[in-house]
Amino acid sequence: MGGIIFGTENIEQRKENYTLISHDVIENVDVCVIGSGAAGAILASKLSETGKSVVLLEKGGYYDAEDMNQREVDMIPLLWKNGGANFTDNLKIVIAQGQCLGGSTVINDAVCFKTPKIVRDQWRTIEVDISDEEWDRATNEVWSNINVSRVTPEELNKNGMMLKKACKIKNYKSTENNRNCKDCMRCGFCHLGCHYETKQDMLVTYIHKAIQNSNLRIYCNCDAQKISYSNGIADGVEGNFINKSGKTMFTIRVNAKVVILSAGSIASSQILLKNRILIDKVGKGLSLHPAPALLGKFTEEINAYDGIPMSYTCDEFGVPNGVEDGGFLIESIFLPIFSFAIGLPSFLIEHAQLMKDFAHYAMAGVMIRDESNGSITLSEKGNPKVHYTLSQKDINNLTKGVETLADMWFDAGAEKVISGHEDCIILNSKDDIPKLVEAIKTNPDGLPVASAHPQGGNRMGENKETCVVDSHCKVHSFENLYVSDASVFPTSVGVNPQVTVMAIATMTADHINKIWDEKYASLHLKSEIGKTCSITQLMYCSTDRLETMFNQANNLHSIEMLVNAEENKDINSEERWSFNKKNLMIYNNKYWRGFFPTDQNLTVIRYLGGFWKRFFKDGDETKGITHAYEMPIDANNIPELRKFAGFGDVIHLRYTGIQYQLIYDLLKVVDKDTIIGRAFLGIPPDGNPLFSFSMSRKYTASFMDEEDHETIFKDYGHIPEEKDMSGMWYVKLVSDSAVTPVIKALTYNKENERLQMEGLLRRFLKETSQVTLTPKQTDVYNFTNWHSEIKIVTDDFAVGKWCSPWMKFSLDLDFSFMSIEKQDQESRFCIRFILGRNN
Amino acid sequence: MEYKISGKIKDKIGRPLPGLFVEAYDSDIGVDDFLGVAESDSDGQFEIIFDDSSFKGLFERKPDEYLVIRDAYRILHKTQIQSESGNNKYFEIKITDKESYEDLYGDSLQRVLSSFNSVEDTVDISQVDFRRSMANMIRAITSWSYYTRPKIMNKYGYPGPQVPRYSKTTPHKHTLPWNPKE
Repeated sequence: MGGIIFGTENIEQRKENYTLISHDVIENVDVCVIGSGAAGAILASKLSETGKSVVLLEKGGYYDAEDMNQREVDMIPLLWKNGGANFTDNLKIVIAQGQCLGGSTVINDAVCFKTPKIVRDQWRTIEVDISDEEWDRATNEVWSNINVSRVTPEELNKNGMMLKKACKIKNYKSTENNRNCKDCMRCGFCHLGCHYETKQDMLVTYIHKAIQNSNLRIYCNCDAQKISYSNGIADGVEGNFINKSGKTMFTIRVNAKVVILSAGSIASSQILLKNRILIDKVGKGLSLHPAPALLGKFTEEINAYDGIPMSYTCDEFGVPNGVEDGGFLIESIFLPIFSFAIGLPSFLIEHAQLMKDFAHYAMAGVMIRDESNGSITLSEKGNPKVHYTLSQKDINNLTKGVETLADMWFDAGAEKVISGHEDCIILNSKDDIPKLVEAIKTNPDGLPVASAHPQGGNRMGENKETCVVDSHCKVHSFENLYVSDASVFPTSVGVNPQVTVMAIATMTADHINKIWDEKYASLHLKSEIGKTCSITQLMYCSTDRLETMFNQANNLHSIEMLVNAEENKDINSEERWSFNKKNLMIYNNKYWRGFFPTDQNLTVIRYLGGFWKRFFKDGDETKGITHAYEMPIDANNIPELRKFAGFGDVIHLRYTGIQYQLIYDLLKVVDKDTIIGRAFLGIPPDGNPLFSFSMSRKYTASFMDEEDHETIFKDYGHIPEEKDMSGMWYVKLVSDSAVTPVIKALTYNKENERLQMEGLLRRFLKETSQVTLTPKQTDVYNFTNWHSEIKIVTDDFAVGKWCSPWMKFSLDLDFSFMSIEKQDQESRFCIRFILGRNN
Repeated sequence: MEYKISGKIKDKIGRPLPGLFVEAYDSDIGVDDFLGVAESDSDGQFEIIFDDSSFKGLFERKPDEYLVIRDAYRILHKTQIQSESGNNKYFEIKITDKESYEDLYGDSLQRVLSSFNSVEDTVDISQVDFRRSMANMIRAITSWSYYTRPKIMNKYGYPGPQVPRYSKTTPHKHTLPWNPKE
């Protein structure tokens, strides 16, 4: 029995062993890898082959060759990150990335370049400690595993031949590309996944081989959100399984001895930032290999869509030809018709006229080796914002590249060249080239460029002050957290980067394998369960799961177990209520806090429908009270141990009040602090089920109620200092019966030496508030006359309330998160909330 | 009076399915009565016994049973209501899972729209050139509605996809109509 690929999409047959996910997952393994592209797949494969248990998490889905149907409208949403709409923050550059099992290797053009010697040398001068022998060994291993071979002259299509012709005329150094493709069908649909399995992407090479081994489990459709760590040791990963609408269906917690992030430049930086790891260094130095494309329009038919899209490269001006600084490659490329139409400049009538010559165009791109000017930051919702500008040097390179290529197309016999620059779309002869050069110089933004090679962000190097990872890809200041993908490139590499990424991953895997026994084997595996639905934290369970667990579980305890702490006992007694700051767990034995299942979709119940039950001794008898938070309901109960057909041993909770005669609950105590319950209408044991619920005496601070909130605010929080508050926080309201959704993200920053808070409510209402921190109070004032008071509990958790001014009359309308505070003769409203660093 | 429901659960090709939970309900006006639960054995067989106190209301003389089959995590199947009389009923249940197979290509738009969720707030409006972005958007929409149609593609000399859309379930050959070596 081999490994299994899991996912949320139910498809009839798959090439590899595939199972539909239908519940939360907890995994305890040696290694957890995030991302299954050029780096992640190799790491997972090489580590599992040496006997380590490995979990691989991939945000995209698993699609095999027969799913790839060569249709752009079908495949781009399945395989491309953000359905193809992956842009820089100014919407100027579209960044092509794969988001599926196999990552970008599934949708790239299979072009392979070994890491140029010049680049390796340059990287060594900036403290990347990798010898040429190591590079060569890793590169050769990759080279043979992905079956790289050179395109033969017979395999060149007319598009490639045109570029070749132009290079020969100019006597430029050029060659057929190396590609990881075996017996290529030359269908021209590389960007949409290879239907014929000839492209040697990760799916058919590393993943296919590794999944035969039962050490590897792959979870697709899994959005990894959180890396948990303490004192420089990462101990696990948490994520959500999402369906095709992006809705969270289940959660996963992976406890691992080593965590490796291989999610690509943008996502790796995003995940590190989200988890507040080295935030002052992460996300900087992004380069994109920006590439404009030029079309040569020929009299004869080129039919560039037939055959290998990227088959030929002119490297006269690039790193492979010894250009040390900047430079560019000119590479033949072509796109399927829809992508082509989107990329073709102009619109409406002019566009239609240009499209008429579709079969007559030869196309090539100019790929610039750019400087690392980009950055990745987090948006309010925790999405990655890619900021990128071309430096003057990049623009000069672009200009030179475009100029050269236009000249080449005319030399090869083109009657027109389509440049794409908005001020100079069509060049009718060589005489127009200076116009184009001028247009780019005066309006560089007018030239559309695309990117398929995001690199950098988490720079590699031995210098801890400036770099994120060391030469083995281990994150500085961490023992067992690695980032291994294109994001570690210290500069852009200047050639198509997939082989460099794979070589780095190979070296990282070899390094981890080498030091495993000594460094990692004996690491203690944490047994966290994250936010998964499990028997000790039923508040994360859906109705279906609760019902099933209710049917399967046995009542483990006697009625005595139910009894809560005495009401008049010392208010500060640990037995009655305690809060553990370390793991943010609340132990609340004042009553059993009730929770509704996660899929009950009435928002009103989330905020208003909560309840608790309290049990106490009355002489020898155990009695109970069921209390609804928002209603004047305190129903008296009597619990009795019973055996009911179909349910087994249960606690039958009778309601003694006359008005509740038709209601009863069945409870099963599954753990000393946890109960599953079902409420019924009718006469036991044959009543009709109304709803399911759970109750706990132990829950995390995310589930606190108002009383917990007040105690923590008073006794466990302290007035923050500026440094405690700065950065981003997510706000949730304190509710009665569930975790509430994030309502708002806040950022505290310093503007003109004054701390201020920026909040974005519902994406439109932007507020900026002045923050005053006094030893007695934190006050946040916005445009209303209400203000917030915040107290910090731990580095990444705080509690707060948003309160009205004190009013001279007595209020007593206290419902849900809106509470009333009184002082002397005055009272005020307060809305209670919690703040967390993670959403 | 005692009633018995028994039966057998099989998968789509007839193999017995052990370890599934079978819950029996009596269909009623309003809410349905729960009759009992059983687990299927290694032969896929199950048996639920109940008496008439479980379902009898004022007017009801006989139960209208239906079964809900679930595994540990979700409902797999609900049977039709069996209302004929008799106190010994047998259910033959086939779990195909077939009805829940997804159409990968059927909801591309939904996929794209949901991914916009993770894009929308990454745009820095102050940096965006609206004229250019609008032009790009218009081009994307017109191209999508026009050039993705097979007939239009062919008009431009573009042969289009070489495999059937549902290629997994449609037998097809891996050949190309053009001679790529030309």
